[in-house]
Amino acid sequence: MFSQLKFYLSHSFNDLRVNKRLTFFALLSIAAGVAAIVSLQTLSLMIGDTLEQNLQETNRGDVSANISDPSEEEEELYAQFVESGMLATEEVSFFGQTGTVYSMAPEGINTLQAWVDESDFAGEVEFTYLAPVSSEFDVLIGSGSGTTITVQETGDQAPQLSSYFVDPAVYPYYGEITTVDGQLLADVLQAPTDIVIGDNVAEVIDVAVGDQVLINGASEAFTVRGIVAIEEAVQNPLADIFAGLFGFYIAPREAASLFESVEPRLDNFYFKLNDPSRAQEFEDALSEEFGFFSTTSTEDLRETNEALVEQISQLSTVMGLISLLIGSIGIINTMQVIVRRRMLEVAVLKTIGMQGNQITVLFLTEAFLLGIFGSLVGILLGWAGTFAIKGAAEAIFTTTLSFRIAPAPAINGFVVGVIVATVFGFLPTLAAAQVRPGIVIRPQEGVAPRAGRLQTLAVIALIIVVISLIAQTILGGTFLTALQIVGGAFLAAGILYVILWVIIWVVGRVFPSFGMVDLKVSLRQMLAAKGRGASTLLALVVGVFSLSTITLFADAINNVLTEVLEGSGGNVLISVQSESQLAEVEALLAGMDGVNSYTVALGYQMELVEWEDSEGNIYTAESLPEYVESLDINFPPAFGIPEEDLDEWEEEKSEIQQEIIGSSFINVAVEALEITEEGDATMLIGRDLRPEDENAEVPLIVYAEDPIIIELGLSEGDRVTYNVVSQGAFGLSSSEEVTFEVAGIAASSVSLSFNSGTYIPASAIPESASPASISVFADVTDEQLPMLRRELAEIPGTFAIETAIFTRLITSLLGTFTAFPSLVAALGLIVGGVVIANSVALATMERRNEIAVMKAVGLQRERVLGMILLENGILGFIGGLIGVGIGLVAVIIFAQSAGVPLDAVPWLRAFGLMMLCVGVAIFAAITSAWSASGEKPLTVLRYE
Amino acid sequence: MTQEIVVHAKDLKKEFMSGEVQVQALRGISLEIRRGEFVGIIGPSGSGKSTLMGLIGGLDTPSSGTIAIDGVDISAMNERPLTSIRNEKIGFVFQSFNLIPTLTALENVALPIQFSKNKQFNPTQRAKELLTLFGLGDRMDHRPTQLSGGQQQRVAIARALSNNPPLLLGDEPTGNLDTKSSDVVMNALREVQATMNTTVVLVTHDMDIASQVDRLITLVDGEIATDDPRSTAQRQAVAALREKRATGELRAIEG
Repeated sequence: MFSQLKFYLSHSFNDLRVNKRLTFFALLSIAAGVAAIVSLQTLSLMIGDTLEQNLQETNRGDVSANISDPSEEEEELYAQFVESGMLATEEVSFFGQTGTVYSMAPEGINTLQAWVDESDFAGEVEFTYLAPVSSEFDVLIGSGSGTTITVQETGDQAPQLSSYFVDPAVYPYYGEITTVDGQLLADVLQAPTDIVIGDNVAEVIDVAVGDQVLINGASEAFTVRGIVAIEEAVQNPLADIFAGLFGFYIAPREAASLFESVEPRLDNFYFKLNDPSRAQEFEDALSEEFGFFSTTSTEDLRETNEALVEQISQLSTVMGLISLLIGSIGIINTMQVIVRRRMLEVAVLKTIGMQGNQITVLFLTEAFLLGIFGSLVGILLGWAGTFAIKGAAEAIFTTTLSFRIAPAPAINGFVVGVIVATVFGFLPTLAAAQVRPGIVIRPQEGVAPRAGRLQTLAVIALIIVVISLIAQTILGGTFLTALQIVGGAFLAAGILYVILWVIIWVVGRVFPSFGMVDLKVSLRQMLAAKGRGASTLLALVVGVFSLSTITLFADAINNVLTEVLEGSGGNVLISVQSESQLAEVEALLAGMDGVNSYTVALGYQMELVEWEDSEGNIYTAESLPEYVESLDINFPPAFGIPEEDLDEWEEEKSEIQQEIIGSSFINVAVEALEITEEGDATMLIGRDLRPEDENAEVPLIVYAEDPIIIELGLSEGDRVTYNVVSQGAFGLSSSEEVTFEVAGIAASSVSLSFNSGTYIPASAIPESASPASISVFADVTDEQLPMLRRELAEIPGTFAIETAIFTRLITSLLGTFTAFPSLVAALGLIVGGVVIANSVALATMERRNEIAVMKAVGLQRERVLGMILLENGILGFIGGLIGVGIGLVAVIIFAQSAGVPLDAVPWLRAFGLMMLCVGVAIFAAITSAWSASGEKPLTVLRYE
Repeated sequence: MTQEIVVHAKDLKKEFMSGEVQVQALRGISLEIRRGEFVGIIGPSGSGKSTLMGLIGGLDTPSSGTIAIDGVDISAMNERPLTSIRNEKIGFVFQSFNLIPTLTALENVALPIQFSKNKQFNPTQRAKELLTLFGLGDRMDHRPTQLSGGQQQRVAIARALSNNPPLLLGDEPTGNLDTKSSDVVMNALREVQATMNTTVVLVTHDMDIASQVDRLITLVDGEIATDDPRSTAQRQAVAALREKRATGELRAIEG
């Protein structure tokens, strides 16, 4: 027994040693997958370390608290706090929508202090707070005091800055904020006009320490005393997202008094306890006493971080496992070639008395050794890889990560790598046992052995069970769930394999060679190795599909947003409070350079009087609900709700229908627009408005798409009469009746209007009617935007949002959230490339004779290499077409459902990804085929 | 010498498909080979020599008829017991030597013993004995690529004898060797037959080799055409001719 084991091990080891090239690429297939697991798991540990490192420092205290928006049930409670003087409120308006922002009143600080002094924590707690002059909303719209820094000397501006007005003597309670020069915050913020700015701001406006800057709304200039790295000041990039995206500055709390027209918003409180172990107790007491606080203790943070790290770890491990499974295709291919090349040896072994199962164990030992060595190499590569992606991860999480070599990822990677390599190497080794001993006498009659069907199915089942066990260990849950997921994945992979096999067969047979010999030979070679080609393609498709789906969706969302925003008719949206202010804004825009055009949209509320349909039936606001009921609209499908949920929705159907018809037809918000050019909205019914419609005898109306309106049977030419409501003084309203003719129904939300989507020509509104909201869409050159902002700041109650802000915000958010998955998907593509390199190495090894003959009859090395590259380039193209194609189909479906033209689909990016796939395939092929194409023909023909 | 029957074939037939054509490789072969015989099987290409070798060696199964090796009927055996029979009762020597390239000479010879169920020998000790017997005592740790053709074939013979089988089959054992090496190998096989009483059956198309056997079976078109024992006088005459050729007195006819 021992001697047999020794034979298996020494024989396998020797064979791997002798067949260096075969072994190298097989090892690389496993190593790539294991490296992905090790590097991603190590990274998640490093993230966990960083998050765990100093929770107090992250939380800026033992307990942190901020004032959250009230729920419906809490409104009364908040009102009580406002009445008691604890809370202050501020009404904000945004394109006709109003809301209330809560912050602590100055007196509330005293109340809070008094409570602390009288509580069980008296003398045990101190607290500090931030007092910014701008809110997150101000930062978002780039308006409001304290959001823009201008360099006095150069005029360079940095808008949309978050501000931290702190007590530098104590803030932060834990940790330190130091400038890039190493100075403490307390040392550099000595005067109210001292500030430090974020490094991301300093880069944008090229400002240095000592420069004088202006902050909008402040009565004095400030002096930059230091530059702070973003990770020093921003502890939670997800909570302080604007600071990370657009930049920030830190000033002493006293600086708030320099902003004359605003009151600082007292929010974000930090509590330090003499006994941090009582943090949870304090948090509970604080929340109970002051129900408006949303609190976070270090323990809360720990739990949140642990959950986050766990999710990152699971995602990393799953993605690493997928990469390893992709790499296992390389193992299968390698073992198949090993078995084929050693058929005669197997026959000899069987001749001298080795049983079939012993042959299987022999080759399985080889797969096992490949797994061990490959995993060991993978661990080293993984640790090295962690360095490579550490920088990218630090940029994503805006924090410094400390590298460490942890045993757990290495052990996980090693164990999983060995198991996967052995299990996946099992099937080819079963085939080895089927070699007929008789070929020892007639080697030329030897055919590639295959395992029996039952054996094959049994091994596949074993593989699925093993992978399911691994998945269950990683992800938790039941074995059955893991089995379903893994089984489903294998089934999908199997179907894809068959599809790829068929595609290769079709391309090999049908694709014309255009008279080119090289192409003909390449296609024939591809056809001759369909199985291996399909498995190689499978690896490539999985890798490129992951990467392309993430990338294309991010691009498509960007494009959709741009499409919607550009469809609004400008790059700046200006909200105006009154018609008198509108006149000022119009005068400003008319007289300013760089304003290419502008459109005024007046929002009105209208109430239905009656609707006369094409058959002469008349419905009123009172009779319409009953009519809707009688239609028995097939409600769920109209809203995309599956039939199986019908019962649940049936109960609420009536109520929801009435709500919808009420808000989209009976009481509708419309925008009155100056129609200066023909609308280009996608119309479901009828047509869009044209300039000549301004003078129509009966004004026209275009409705926004709505399933209920469509089910009503509203059609072009119908007449609808509305009361146009005006809000007057002292809360009184008036209305005037206007009859419209239905021009059409516009698809989805892409229309001339940015707001409601239902619109009418401006001339249709009676002169006496007052708009509920006023918006101006202006198209302004980028150079003039800062000027426009400054001028608008002089007109009270107006503010402007550049549509580019949303694009930038969404782009940054998308970039942040897709960076990590993209990184992981890119790893999958790299592993796919390794599998290709492995396949090409195996193919050239098997085709040495053929290559030698080609060279013997006169083909140059470059031409031989070119044929191999052409073959793999075609495979790469097919892989790219399918992998990117699937992602593209998903994006097209998304675009169409959003009612967006196909222009939004990132065709160029998709093409680029396809070419990347071809590039990966060719590059991988070169690494293997270069030396093979250079071998001397005589060497091969003599000794093969 | 004992006279028990080592190979007993009765009405052996073998058919197989070559493409779409059915080929009758053997058309009813019956023969008996006894212990200690030195037999040659000769015939033109396609006569069925290799097929008969495969059936005798348990590498293939007949379409009809029976074949027994050392009293054991292997005609309808499954692969598993057949493998054991090959391990214990049959030794093979091939034209291309077919040594395992990654194993040393010692390891190659010890291999069949390691997979034997009977374990009648210590693998390393037995391998050393056999290699020493064949003059390869100083080559035990060499790999096949480090040995000459003749040396490799002697290692192959040693491997074939490692479990002391009653039957040794050679398929063109000197086919890849020069004259001198061929003589060495044939002498080795003779030595085996003489000292171990092993039955040696060689398939060859080399008349020189065929002239050295005790019994020559000629196959033509899947049937035994002749089955003639060689007399001592005939063998001695052939041996004398060979010696003259070796010393240069008599040149072999070329072409």
